[in-house]
Amino acid sequence: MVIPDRMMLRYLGVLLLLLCLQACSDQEAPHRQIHSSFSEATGLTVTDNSGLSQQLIAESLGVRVVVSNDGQWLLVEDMQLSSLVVVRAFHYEGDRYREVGLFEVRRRWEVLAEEAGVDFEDLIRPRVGIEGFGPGQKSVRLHFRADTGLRAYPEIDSIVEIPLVMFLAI
Amino acid sequence: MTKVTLTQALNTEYRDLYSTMEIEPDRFSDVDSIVDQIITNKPLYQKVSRKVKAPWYFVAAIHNMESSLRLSRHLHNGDPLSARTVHVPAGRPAEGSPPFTWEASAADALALRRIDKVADWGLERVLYELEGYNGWGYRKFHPQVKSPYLWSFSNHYSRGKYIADGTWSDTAASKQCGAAVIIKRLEQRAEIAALTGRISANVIPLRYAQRVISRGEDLQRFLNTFPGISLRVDGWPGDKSSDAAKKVFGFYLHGDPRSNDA
Repeated sequence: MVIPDRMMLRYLGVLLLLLCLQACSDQEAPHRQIHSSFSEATGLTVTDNSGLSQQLIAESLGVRVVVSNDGQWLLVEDMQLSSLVVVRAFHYEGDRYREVGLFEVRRRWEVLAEEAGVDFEDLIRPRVGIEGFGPGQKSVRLHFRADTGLRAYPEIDSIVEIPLVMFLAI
Repeated sequence: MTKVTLTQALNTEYRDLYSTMEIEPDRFSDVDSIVDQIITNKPLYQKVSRKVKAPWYFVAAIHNMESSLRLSRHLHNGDPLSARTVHVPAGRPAEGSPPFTWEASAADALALRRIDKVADWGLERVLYELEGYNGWGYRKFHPQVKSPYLWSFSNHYSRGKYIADGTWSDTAASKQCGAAVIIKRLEQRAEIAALTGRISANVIPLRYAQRVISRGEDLQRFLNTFPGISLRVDGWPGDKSSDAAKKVFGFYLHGDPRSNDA
């Protein structure tokens, strides 16, 4: 197939525009290198390449931190008890990370519990794991696991994608 | 999470709670079903026990609390044994290559929590390490509720727990059997040595009394070794002990007003 010159120019134009937009986007959100450290006694502290150091979680048995490509988002698996792991999200806001409420998580638990035939509050050993960011880092894939105590449907094991929405936690 | 120290007061609390614990009667069959499976798995727990120098029943209790006795998952977090853990704590076991045996994974999980560094394994220490394994959130932030990780399915716990989204609920009740309850039942069924005293030799009286009598505790410990019986060991062989004797022997304890010889 022969592509007419005018069509070719149009394609090149679109390509240049996309590259330009990408470059602008990169300038707006410079990459942040994040280093995290954790101990049961001191909690989770993150430090970036500009020297910013911030304690994000004080009380936990263990954490796993997943950082978005641009360093704007930190997602944390927070082992609050050995039998309870929650996921927490932090977004970079100018000079520090602020926690963002993942309100969708509770709704997902409720739906999964209802499907299994058990009350949300009765779930045994609920643990949420982070599988990774979704397209454009506007969502996150979460792994929901829990026992139900029911013979017919003993276990919940489901990966669900939820949006990262900017409702700032207090 | 800041650790709680095992003080003399806490020692006393654990001992008192354990000795006054009674398994909820409507949970007997659930508890016995767990204990049956634990006894089947005992050789595995003994292997791990030798590696981490902790009692085998401690390993068994943690296994039930963390994995519902599944042998195909890492004890750390329920990830599959076919690879290192992906979720928190990630990358475990750090040594060896996948797939891992359940025993290797369990030993790593317990060592990660420094269980292998514990020297003394008396009753109080067992309960302290179990509560600490789960985390001190109940004791530090909701001390009015005895941790369901230890006491659920017993008279020491009715409701109040952390739920799936990490918030506290005063009304939610744990649906999981507590670790102390499992250990108590193992003790009652004579699978482990009595942690709060031993059955002494010679004759045990089959006598009813409305007071503490000599060898009354031994009688109650003996009755506790039978399926479906779980008595508080207080040396006072009253109605509940007599009911248990009726189940085992077919007659009430001598002196029980309900029996023919009273």
